[in-house]
Amino acid sequence: MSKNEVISPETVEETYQHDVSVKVRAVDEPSPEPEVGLKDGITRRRFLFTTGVVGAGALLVGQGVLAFALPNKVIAYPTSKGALLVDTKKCANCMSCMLACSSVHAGKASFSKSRIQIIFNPFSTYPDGARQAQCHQCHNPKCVAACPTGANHVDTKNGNVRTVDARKCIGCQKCIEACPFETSRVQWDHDLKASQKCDLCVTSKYWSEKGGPEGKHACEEVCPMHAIHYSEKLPDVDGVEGYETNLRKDDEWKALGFPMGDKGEFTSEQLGAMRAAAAAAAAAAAEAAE
Amino acid sequence: MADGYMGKILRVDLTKNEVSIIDTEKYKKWGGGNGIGTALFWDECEDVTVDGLDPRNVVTIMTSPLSGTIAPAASGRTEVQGNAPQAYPVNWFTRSNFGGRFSGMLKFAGWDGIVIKGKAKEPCWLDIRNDKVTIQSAKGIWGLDTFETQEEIWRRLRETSGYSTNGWYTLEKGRDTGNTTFDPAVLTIGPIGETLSPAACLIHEAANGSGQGGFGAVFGSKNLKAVSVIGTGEVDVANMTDLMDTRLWMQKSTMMGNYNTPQTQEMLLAAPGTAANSLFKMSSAPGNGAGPVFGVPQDVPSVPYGCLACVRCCRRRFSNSKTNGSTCVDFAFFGGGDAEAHGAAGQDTFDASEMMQRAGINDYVLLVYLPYLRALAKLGVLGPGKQIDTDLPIEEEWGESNLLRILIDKMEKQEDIGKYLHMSLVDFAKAIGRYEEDSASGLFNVQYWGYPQHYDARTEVEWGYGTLMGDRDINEHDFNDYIYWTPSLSIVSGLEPPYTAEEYANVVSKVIKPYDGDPLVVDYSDEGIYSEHMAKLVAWHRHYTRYYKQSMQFCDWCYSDIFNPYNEGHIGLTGEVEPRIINAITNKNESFLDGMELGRKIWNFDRAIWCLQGRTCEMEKFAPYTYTQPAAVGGEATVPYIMPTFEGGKWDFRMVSGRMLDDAKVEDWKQKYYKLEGWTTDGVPTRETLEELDLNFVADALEKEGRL
Amino acid sequence: MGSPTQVISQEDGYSLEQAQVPDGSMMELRVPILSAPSVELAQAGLHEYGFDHRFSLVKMSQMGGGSPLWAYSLSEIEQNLKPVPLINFEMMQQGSFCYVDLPNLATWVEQTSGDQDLADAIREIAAQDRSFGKLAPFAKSLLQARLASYEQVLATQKADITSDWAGDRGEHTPLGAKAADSSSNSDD
Repeated sequence: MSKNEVISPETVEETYQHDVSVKVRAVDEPSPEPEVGLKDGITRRRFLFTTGVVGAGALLVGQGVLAFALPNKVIAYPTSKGALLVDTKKCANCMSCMLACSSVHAGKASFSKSRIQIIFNPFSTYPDGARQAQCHQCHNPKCVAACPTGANHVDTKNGNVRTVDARKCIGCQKCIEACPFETSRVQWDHDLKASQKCDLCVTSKYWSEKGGPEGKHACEEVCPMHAIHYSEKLPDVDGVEGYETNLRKDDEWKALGFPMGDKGEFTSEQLGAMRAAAAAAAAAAAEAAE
Repeated sequence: MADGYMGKILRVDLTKNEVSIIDTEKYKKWGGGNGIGTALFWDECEDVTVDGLDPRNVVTIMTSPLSGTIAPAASGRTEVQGNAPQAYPVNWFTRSNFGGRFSGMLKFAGWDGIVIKGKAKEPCWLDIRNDKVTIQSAKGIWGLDTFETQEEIWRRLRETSGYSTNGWYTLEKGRDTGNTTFDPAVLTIGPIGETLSPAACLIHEAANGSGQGGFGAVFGSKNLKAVSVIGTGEVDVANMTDLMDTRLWMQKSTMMGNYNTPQTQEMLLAAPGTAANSLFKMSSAPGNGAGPVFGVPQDVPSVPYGCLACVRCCRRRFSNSKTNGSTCVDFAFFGGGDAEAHGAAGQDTFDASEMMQRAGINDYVLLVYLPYLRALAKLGVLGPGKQIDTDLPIEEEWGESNLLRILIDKMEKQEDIGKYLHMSLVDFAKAIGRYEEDSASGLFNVQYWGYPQHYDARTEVEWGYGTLMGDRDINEHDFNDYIYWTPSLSIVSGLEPPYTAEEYANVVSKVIKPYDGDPLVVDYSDEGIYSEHMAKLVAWHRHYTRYYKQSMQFCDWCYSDIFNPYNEGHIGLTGEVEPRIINAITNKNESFLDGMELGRKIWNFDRAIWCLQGRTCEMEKFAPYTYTQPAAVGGEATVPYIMPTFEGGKWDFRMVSGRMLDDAKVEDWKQKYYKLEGWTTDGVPTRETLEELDLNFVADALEKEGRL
Repeated sequence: MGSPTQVISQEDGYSLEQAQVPDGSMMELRVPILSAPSVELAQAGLHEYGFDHRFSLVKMSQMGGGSPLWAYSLSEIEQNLKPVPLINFEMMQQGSFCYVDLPNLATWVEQTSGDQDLADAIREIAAQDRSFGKLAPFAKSLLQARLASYEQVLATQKADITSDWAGDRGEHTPLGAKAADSSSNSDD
């Protein structure tokens, strides 16, 4: 599967709607070989395509807890309870999120150890040039699938967040390479010599707040633009950037003059209001001229 | 013990073509930024009286323990110091400061700061990759504009980096050498700096400029094109849990901690003109908010833009220009003419701003030049064949970005009028034979030490006095918003200001320790401005900013927080927020007053250096028009300066424009201030004062030079 | 530039006009209607003056303070005289506006074009409220009307001259040419 190929969101949503009954690899359960989804020359997408959504769903229901003992040993994973979404069209590029992330996880402020990366070209024009790289807890986590030791795993005790147990990481970096996005959402901690990734602040030990899916998330809390948002609805996957999310839709942001459109443009409603104001001024001028 | 410091400062001797390490430990007692910078300048500069462009001048580029951390609005500033070619009549030792991400990146590379000495034989740039530092040839970079320079350095670094994995790359061979997704943070000069114009600034990214002082020319004089730094390390602090908690606590007192509360909803959405809608400084929204301000056409999308770890994000990113982060004078220097030429400021203003940033010119210099040149043309003395003979199309192209293109070209080539514009402001006015006349009338509104008039010394005296007692336009907005802008704008618009003068004075009186308990410090009446109360306000301001803003590098656009709409009694966070942040990082357990005292110490240290450079009481004069022309821009327009006054036993907001300063009373005020600071009648810190501050060695130096 | 006000009625030499003022409310104000100027007055009213007769405006902004704006013609002043936007959060933090001292403007008009009717009318507007922000749209409306009447008088005059002097236009400088010559730097 090339990086540019994506699983259609509809398919994913439908397929995993019964994920509660899926058998998964838990935190302390080493993954048996071979259980990796993408190793045997068949991609998740191809599997879905060839077996069909209905077939997969039926299989789920029919197999109960042992669901997804599928051809080529493709393993399905339970959906994460939620993920952190970033609206790069709202982001001010202050990188508070990055520093907060490394601060609460590592106890040190660092760009390199941040599990969210804001990649910004200061010579770009809005809305281009700003990207975010933060794990959005894929339905089908290729990083988990790529891990030969179970270090990169689904944490069933913490809302199925995809995370790395550094103690089990052997440093092969396969999970980093497997991440399908333009900048890997899994990072290499060169001091620990282990991979790491967004764990929804489950391990945010340098903070008085409790993290995890039910708790608080450092990046979300510090963001002065409120451009990061924890969502129980996982994002629609869309291209290599992953997804678009629009956190500018409330009246406060409109009042602050933010472009409200999904792509960072003014909406027709906003442009209409501007045009109406201009037309009113022109009409007043015409009236005055008479 | 983790304390926010990286432990080493980089010394670069360009004459010797070598780099070395200074242990930060010796300098920690100065805090960071300006404090350490002054101490380093003292130690590293063989003669503190050298001119700005002398190879012996030393430039310090300093971070603070807070840099690179999540300290709110206190992480992304970098302090630059050295002797200033822009200053008049002496190249005073000065400071400048810029935002962005340079400070954080320098610390992630393992450095608390950089000291640059000497002069390279050939144009060069400094390449810092973690602890690996090299002085590189600037061949192929010298001559590029500031944007091109940064992009070229990024390209060269990527070419020579280690290996990349899925969007990440390492700085050296080997996967455990630290990896990153970032390009280096670069501080560079443009073509104007290469030709040593005092109008040249340092530029980082698009619009982070270290403008005042002329450090672009200082870099140029050292044959130094740029400093590039990339780091993959981290900043370790004493108590991260406290720091995180403090940040979130502090955010609650900003608008962004309240954006969805009923109070802010009212501010944002309720009827304009109500007190609730008239936000105060700490509460203000990110970016420009709605509407076509600064010439952003209303239908051009733009969003806020912040320096590292900011909570306010006061700047802006645009869809119609690459001049990201520009704000205020970055646009204002051109927007007025653009509006006159086209009905409203627009694309020409953006294009002009980008040209200015690319060339690396201090926008404040252009803010003086453009209207002044046009006035001279109108006066009939500037133009082809005129007394000031130039083909600069100042009138024909007024408001067109092409005018700036031509002007910059002339400055770069130093031809036609460009050979004069290339000088410092005062030297320019002298070279064209207009200085005496126009600084007397105020047409040439360069009010103090060769720097453009910013807030007027005749009305907002704490700004003018602070500048006069120092070395440059202070550019510190601690009081300005509340004593001038909000009341003036409200009353000019026919509205009641959102607070009374008495309420503001009482809050100031509670917060400004150790000078608290005196509301009259903000009495801007004709008597109040010459009082001992005003001396206390100026002293508080000098000491506060020297430590908290310029040394620990709390951003001016967020601190001090004296008056805050979200807190009970409108009492701001200053006094509590600064030590909480500092102590979480350094574990020094210092009090607010400890910081104020260190600020006083650094201020006296700087003052002593100016005295060694020749400062006397007699030199401390504003430009002549300040004493002879009523307060107004250019000496003639009526400016609605509405300020708090206490007269007849009553507080009020009163129009004080039209005021000119009384020379004798200013002299009298200076003596009150000198006395309060413990300085001689000639303005030199006494031995007693210096020894009380543990600055005996400074007293010795002053005595040796006959100043004590 | 459109009119900043709406005309409600016109009687007794006044135009009753309405505009939004900085607190967001609508305000009504009586704006004098002036009789047509003479050709000479129209020429003087449109003239671009030199440095000694410049008019100073102030652009006010929070970060930068006051910046000078020098205007050299009534038209330039009118362009810069913009209604103060609604006083709301963005104005309070980073906005800017251009301040025109109306009594000073009246004096300037007297000393340059000598249009006494206009100077008196400006003073009459200024006397109705002490807040510049409230008066700005009405003062602008007045200046717009006066500039339009200058243009109209000169256009009429030009048409008359053209018809009177048809076939001889190469030798005559039509009235109003001075006003149109914006490159003139000298004072009268």
